[in-house]
This record gives sequence, structure tokens and C-alpha cells, in this order.
Amino acid sequence: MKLASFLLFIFAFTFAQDDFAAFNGDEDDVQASDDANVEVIDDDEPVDFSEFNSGVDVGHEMMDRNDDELDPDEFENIPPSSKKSDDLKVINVNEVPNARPVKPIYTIEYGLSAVIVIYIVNYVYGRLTNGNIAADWFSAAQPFLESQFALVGDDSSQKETISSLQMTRDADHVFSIWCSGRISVNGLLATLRLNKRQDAMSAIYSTYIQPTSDRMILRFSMEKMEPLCFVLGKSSAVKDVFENYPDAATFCADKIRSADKLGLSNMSYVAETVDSLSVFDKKMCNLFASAKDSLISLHVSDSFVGPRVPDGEDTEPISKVCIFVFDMKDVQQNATQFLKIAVYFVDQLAKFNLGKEAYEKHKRRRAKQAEAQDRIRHQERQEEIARKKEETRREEYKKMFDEQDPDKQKKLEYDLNKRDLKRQNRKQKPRMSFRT
Amino acid sequence: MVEDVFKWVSPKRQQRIFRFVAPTTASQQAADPLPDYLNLLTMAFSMCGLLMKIKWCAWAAIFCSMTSYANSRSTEDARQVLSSLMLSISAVVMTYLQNPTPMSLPK
Repeated sequence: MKLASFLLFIFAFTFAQDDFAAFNGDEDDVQASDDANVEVIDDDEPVDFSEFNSGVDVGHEMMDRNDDELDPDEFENIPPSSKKSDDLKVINVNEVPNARPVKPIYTIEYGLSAVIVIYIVNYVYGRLTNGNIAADWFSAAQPFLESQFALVGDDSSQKETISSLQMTRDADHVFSIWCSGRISVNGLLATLRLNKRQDAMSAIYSTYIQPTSDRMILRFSMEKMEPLCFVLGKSSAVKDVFENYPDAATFCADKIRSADKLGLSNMSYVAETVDSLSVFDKKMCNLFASAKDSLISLHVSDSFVGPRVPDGEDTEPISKVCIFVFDMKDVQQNATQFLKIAVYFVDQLAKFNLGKEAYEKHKRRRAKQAEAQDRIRHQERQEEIARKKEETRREEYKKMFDEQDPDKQKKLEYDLNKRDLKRQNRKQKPRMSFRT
Repeated sequence: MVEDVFKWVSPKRQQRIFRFVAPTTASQQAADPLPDYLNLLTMAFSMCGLLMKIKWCAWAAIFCSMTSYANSRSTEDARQVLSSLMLSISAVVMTYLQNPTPMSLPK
């Protein structure tokens, strides 16, 4: 704007000089008479600038002293303000609604804080409830465990093997106890995997979306047992074990069969051989029938390596195990009746013999499976070696093509061709037989 | 008669005691990976809340850290869980210090 006004001024000045050209040289013609009174009008009054030593506020009239800068003719297409000073209304502060500053209301923040408080209260209550369930279970199971095991509860921080007689809290919903010192078994790890009552989200999920119940897991580490591998239980649980445990997937047949012939109508099994189910005699079948509503799965394996782990991770060492999973609808029944059924089964399993014929069949089958696995591993190794060779070859060819020096390139090409020829000759060369 | 006696023989054997060997971390993580995922979410929400000054992210970080704490295993390092909780709280505090206006629902 200032540049435009400046240019306009220059332009006007230039033309103004031309306008006044007629008067050039006529100054001598214009003479004032001697008796003329020349009144000197001095519009520019001297301004006292001392009051501005501290600075000039923006908007002060001194800032806009030269009104020529704002020429109304410069403003095109802008309608003149139709408002006159008389049209402006005077606003009364008291009449304007919400003129005063309002205090902020943190509605959502209060709501979120209330949710946090409820979550914390639920956490404390859930943790206490789970602790009470575990305590009830242990108080009911303790007499039987003490009668069967020399060590009930192992405090790993203590050097001496003294029964701690208390469960370990692995998490706020997982409690476990280790018992050892018995015939037939190296040890029993009894784990109570309860619902996550301390976590509100998990509690809602397990109640309304995917109902789950508390579980008792009894894992017996066997001292000795016949080479068996089978899984018995509810269909979904058998399928879950079959998919997630490598030993069941390797040794058991693919098909899940019904356990009707064992007197367990709503149960299924997968087994390495049908002979392995001979461990279920009549008494055992009756005992399992009494617990079939609560029994989720029974996993027996002489080559147990734990659940499937991601590639690169180490699996557990191979061991002989018998794992019971019971539904804990009734804490007392689980701690007494089902625990006794499990210990009885383990004793029978330790005494069980496959029989010579069944044992031979089993050995042959395992040998075949081992051979098949070796073949697969060998094939994979060969493929890996071939792939590496191909990659090396590609790199050498790439190096040859990228070589700038033609002599070196020729030498590299010659070396590669020589190596290829040698390889071809080695393949085509017939094998010599030294028969006499 | 022999069988009756055998029944009363205690199966306990003091010389066959084996000490407990805890399962590996990998198998524990495979069993329940939820606390680790929630820990990761807590870090992500906290960073978003702190760097981009998004209030709802900071609040979400607090919820994720509390849920991670509730689901955590006792064997895990308590410092890690506690530090993620502190981080989420600091995200909320810093967000409100920079912008004290209350949160509003999306229109």
C-alpha cells in the first residue's frame, strides 16, 4: 500500500512538474508589492517529543500523523461503510449473556476417574476372592497331600527341603503347589487357574462373552511308565491339546474318536495305539464316569516337551507326564474326590504293562515315525544347502557383471565357466565298479 | 492279609524328594501373552498423549497400564509394570498442564 502510494506520489510529482512547466521562468514576473502584507501561516506547530521518551503506544495519533497515506481513492471495489456513528448501539455488559468467564467443568474426567476407582475396588475384591478360593482348596486337600507326599510345598528360596505347607501365588489368579517324595512319581505340580476376577474387563468377558470356569491342573511327573501317548477328555479340549502340544501331534493319530467304549459317552480321545487305552480297567472307567462332568482333559505322554513355542525358542526337556485338568465347580469335591482319582490313576499307570506284542508294535511304529522325521529334516537341509549355493552363484555372477575392468571380468567369467564345466562332468561321469 | 498290609503302606519316600524347577518364561508367555501386549499399548498411548498432546490417549494409557498390572505374573519385574503406570500418569498430568480445558465428546 505504501509502495503504491509512493509510486503514485512520484507519478503525480512527475506530472505535476509538467503542469507547472508553464510557470518556469516566470518567477521574476511575479513580484510582491512592497506594501503587501504577507502573512506567514505556520500550520506545523512545534511538537514537544519529550513525553514520548518512554515510547509511543500503537494507535496514538502521532503514529498516523500523515493522513495522505490513506487515500480513499486507492480503495477500489470496497463499498463505503454505511454505518454511521449514530447507528452503533451501546452494549450494556449486564445484558450480554455469559459475558463473565465460566469455570471449566470436567465432566468426562470425573467419569473416567470414577471408572478408575471402581476398577481398583474390583481389583482388591477379585484378588481377595481368588485368594480365598485357593485357601479353601488347600485346606481341604492338605491332609490327603500330606499323607501321600513327603514334601508338600517347596519354598525355592530355602536350601533345606522342608514342606512350606502353603501355595505359591504365581499371579493374582494362578496358585500352585509342588509336592514330591512319593513312589511312582517324581512330583506333583497342582495349579489352580482361576478366573481373572481382579481384572474387570476379563471378568466381564469370562462371564458374558465367553464363559469360562476355574480349573484345577494336576501335572504328575512320572518316574517310569510304558511308552504311551494319548489324550482323553471333552472334544474341544482334546482338539486344543492335539493342536498345541507337539508330542500329541506327532505320536497320536489324526482322528478324534468317541470314548463310548470306556463308558464315557460325552468324551473323546486321540491315542497312539488302541492298546494304550487298556490302562482303563472296569474300576477306572467307573471312577472316571463319576467325574466325567468335571474332567476336561487327561494327557498322558512319555515324550512330553511342553506347549508349542515360537521358532528359535527352546522347548522343555523331554519328560514322562500325566496331566489332569478338572473344572472347579465344587472346590471341596476337587480337593478331595478328584485328587484321589488322579493319584489312583497315576499308580495304575505306573504299574501298567503294554504287553510284548503291543510293545513291539509300538517300537516299530516309533521307529517309522523317527525315520520319516529324519527324512523330512534331511530334505529340508538339502533344500537349504541348494538355496545357499544358488545365492552364492547369483552373487558371483552379479560381481562378474558389475566388474568394470574387462580383463578381470573375463577372468571371473572363465573361472565360473570352468567351475560349471567341472560340476557337469562330475554329474555325467559314470561310477566305477570294482567287481572282479 | 498281605494286600491289606500293602494298602496301609505309606507311599511317601523321603529319599525321592525332587526340588521344584520353575517353568521357563517363554512357556509362561505362550500361556498368557496379554500383560505384554497391554504393556506395549500403554507405552504407545503414553507417547501419543505426551508428544501429540492428545488427552484421550493419555487416559487410555492409564487404563491399559492398570489392566496390565492386574494381569501380570508375580514373577515379572514389578519395576517395569510400575514404571509404565508412572509413565501413563505423567502423560495425563503433562497433557492437562499444557491444555487445562476439559475434554469434549466428538461432534
